[in-house]
Amino acid sequence: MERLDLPQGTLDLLILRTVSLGPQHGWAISERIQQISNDVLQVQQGSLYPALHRLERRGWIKARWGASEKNRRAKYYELTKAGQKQLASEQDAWEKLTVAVAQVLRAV
Amino acid sequence: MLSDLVIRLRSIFRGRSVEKDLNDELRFHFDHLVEKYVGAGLSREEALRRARLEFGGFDQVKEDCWQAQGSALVTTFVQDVRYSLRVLAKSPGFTLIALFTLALGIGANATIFSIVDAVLLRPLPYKDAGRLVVVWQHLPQERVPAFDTYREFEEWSRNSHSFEELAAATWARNAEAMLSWRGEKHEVLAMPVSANFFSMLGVQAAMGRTFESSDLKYPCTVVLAHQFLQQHPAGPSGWVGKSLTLNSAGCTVIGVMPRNFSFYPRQTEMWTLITPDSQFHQKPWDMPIGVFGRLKPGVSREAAQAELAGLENRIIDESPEFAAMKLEPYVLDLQSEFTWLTGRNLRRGLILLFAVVVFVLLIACVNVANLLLGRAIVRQKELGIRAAIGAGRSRLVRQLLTESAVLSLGGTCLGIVLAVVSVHIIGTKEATQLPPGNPIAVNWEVLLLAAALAVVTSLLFGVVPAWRASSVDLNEVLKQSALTASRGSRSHRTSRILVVVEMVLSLVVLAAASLLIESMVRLVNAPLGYRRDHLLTAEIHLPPGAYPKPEDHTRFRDRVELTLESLPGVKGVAFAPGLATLPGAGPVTVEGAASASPAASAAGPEPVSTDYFHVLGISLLQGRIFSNQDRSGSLPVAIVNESFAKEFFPKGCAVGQRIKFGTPDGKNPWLTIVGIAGDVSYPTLYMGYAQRPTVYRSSFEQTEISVLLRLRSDALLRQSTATFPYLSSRRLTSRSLPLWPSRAFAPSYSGSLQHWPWCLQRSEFMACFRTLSPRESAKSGYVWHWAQKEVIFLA
Repeated sequence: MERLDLPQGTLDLLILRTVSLGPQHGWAISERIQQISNDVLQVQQGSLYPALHRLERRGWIKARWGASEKNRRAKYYELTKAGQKQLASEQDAWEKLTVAVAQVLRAV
Repeated sequence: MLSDLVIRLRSIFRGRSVEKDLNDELRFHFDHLVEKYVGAGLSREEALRRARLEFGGFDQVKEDCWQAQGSALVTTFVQDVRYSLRVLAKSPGFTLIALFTLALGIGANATIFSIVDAVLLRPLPYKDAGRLVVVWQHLPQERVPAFDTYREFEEWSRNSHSFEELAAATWARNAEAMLSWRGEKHEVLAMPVSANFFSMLGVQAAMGRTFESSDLKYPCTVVLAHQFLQQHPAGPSGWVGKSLTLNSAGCTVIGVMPRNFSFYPRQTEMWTLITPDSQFHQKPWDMPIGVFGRLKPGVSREAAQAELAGLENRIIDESPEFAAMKLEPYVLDLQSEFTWLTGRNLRRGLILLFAVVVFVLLIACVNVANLLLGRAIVRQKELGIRAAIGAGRSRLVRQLLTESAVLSLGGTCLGIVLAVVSVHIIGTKEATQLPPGNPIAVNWEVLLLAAALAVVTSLLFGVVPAWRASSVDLNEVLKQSALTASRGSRSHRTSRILVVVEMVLSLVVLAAASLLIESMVRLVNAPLGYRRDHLLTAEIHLPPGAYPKPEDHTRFRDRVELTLESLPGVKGVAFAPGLATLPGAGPVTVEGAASASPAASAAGPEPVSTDYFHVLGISLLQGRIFSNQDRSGSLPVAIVNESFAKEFFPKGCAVGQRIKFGTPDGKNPWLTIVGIAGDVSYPTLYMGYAQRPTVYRSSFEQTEISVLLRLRSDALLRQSTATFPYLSSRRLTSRSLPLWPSRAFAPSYSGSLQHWPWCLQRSEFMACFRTLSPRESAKSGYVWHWAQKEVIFLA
């Protein structure tokens, strides 16, 4: 299947959504996004990690170090309270946007 | 917000561990990526290659993460500072020279600014200092400030509405008092003040209290200055409540002022209360006094002045003599007056000095800029390599500017240390005479200035070299195996421009300095009309009524003269009136003229002893000098000076003419002019040196006498240490007359030419206050070079 580049600003939403399912490390986040989207969405490391650090700085996610499945030291990110609110509002905005865009495209 | 701050701070303080975390995180991802490709069936090498391709530049990702964390700016700054410190430590010679240069410039600026701040900028440390004023008087024709009289003070404080309060204090006449302490007598500077003096200034005593109106009923109460305590320790119980003997009267100490309180003159050791019994309250009310006051809010100095002038008329009605003087009161701001009293040119001098040190700092900056430029050539390679691995020009400039900032910060710290030391020296050793009020200190304002200077200087000396150095031609630099001068020529041009700038700045400072030296030399070498070398004077104060008969007085002087002349090394002895009793100027009548000369007045008659002209080396132009026969007074004779002869006898032939002081029908005797002497330049308070018409007489019945000694050589001057105490204790004081100085004759020259005595002249009196070097203070004896061009202090 053809791979798509992520539209501007959607990466944050995807990360927040992915992390909301439970603490994840960066690798797992990128893999999960890829899997769920059936390989359509591919997250580049070059944008994933700066995004994670940016979200951490804004206080939407927080990081802690833990052991991975293979017992390696890994940095796990989880959603904060502020992050939950942010996710809800971004998700809401995204849905409204897609509906609106679809309506416009469908109109004759 | 908080987490943001924590992350930023953590990235600064734990720079290394944060970087390791980031490395670990990315490595973790990378390894999983490789695993994934291996799992998909690729060979390990192929998997690594794919992963690397996909991952992109490790460092790039890291850099982006730094940026995302917002800690990049801070981190690079910290990195730059660390790097700068390493680079600077590597070339200690350059660093030390640059630091020292900057420290000198900034230290000098901070020091001078702390003086300017204390003297000119900060208000005096008194209550409502902005409204504090001093009231002087002056003659309408010559605007020369004079003290007021106590009568005026009373009248003004009772009737004026412009002031919240008026207080009186004086350092003219009688400001010195004889203190008997532990069996010794010595002079102290005791300033008579009115009861509300301290309360008007809004200052409290450190121990005890200040004056209250209830103290007026006691004969003598005093408040001590802090410096008096240092010289006269009182023991565990303190001074308050004790009594001390001042001018053989018992006085009670009621309080001690805090260390930081000072008023003009700073050397004051105690304040005495002006009581209703004191001389100030008695006719003819000619005791000179300074009136100080606080204006009511909104009242201008001009308005207050007009009101006081109006009140003056009442006093004039009471006393016709007063009216004749036609003095006008005028009101001045207290702080600027303090500055003016301390040094006639102090204000201008300080501003000039400040300008000079700013130039010195600019020169320092140019010097450091030149040093940096020189280093930039040496560092071409280093900068080139940095540029080659991706540092942009702005990044390089930032790095170089950080280096300048580090240098300038170091220089500033050193400079502040320097300033603290110099301020301490100026403050304690009294290197210069400073006005009373604020103590000079390196306070936060000074520190603020130093910080501002640090920023400005680092930009001044850093920007040009940084810009020059950062324009690296990569190809050129990396190709070069050794340093060549290919790019040096450009740096040399900048360097040459900087040298020119430096020359110009140095010239300005040099010109200012040489002008200063020139005027100093002129002042020192100005022809004064007498010879100053080997000349010493001392003063004798005779108690009033010590020698009621003129013959006794003459005999006393003869004895002093004989004793002194018998000393080895003394060439001549003469007497002149004491400084405090120098006669003022008055109208003079020339015989044959219709009336007293209306415009011209002459100083005198100035009584001098027979040898006066010889001892002082004043030339005789015509006629003869006094002889011993003139002393008997058979024929009243006078010697006039050249100015007098020119003014009163423009056609010449003054010798043989008769003159009289006062009006033609006055009681003064007619004086026959027997000689014309050369002019002597007197230092005046307001007009520099001046010659004035003077009449000398040979009669001599003063209670305050200046003894003038002409010594054979300076060596004797130093040796004579032992002779004067001997004189004072044995021969001259046979009738327990205090001969001042009473101490050893070890002259130490006061370097400053500013220490003029504070003399105020009114037509009938002249009040003198000796501005002593604070170190010497009034307690030590002192001698004057005649005409007070320099004050010589006795240790």
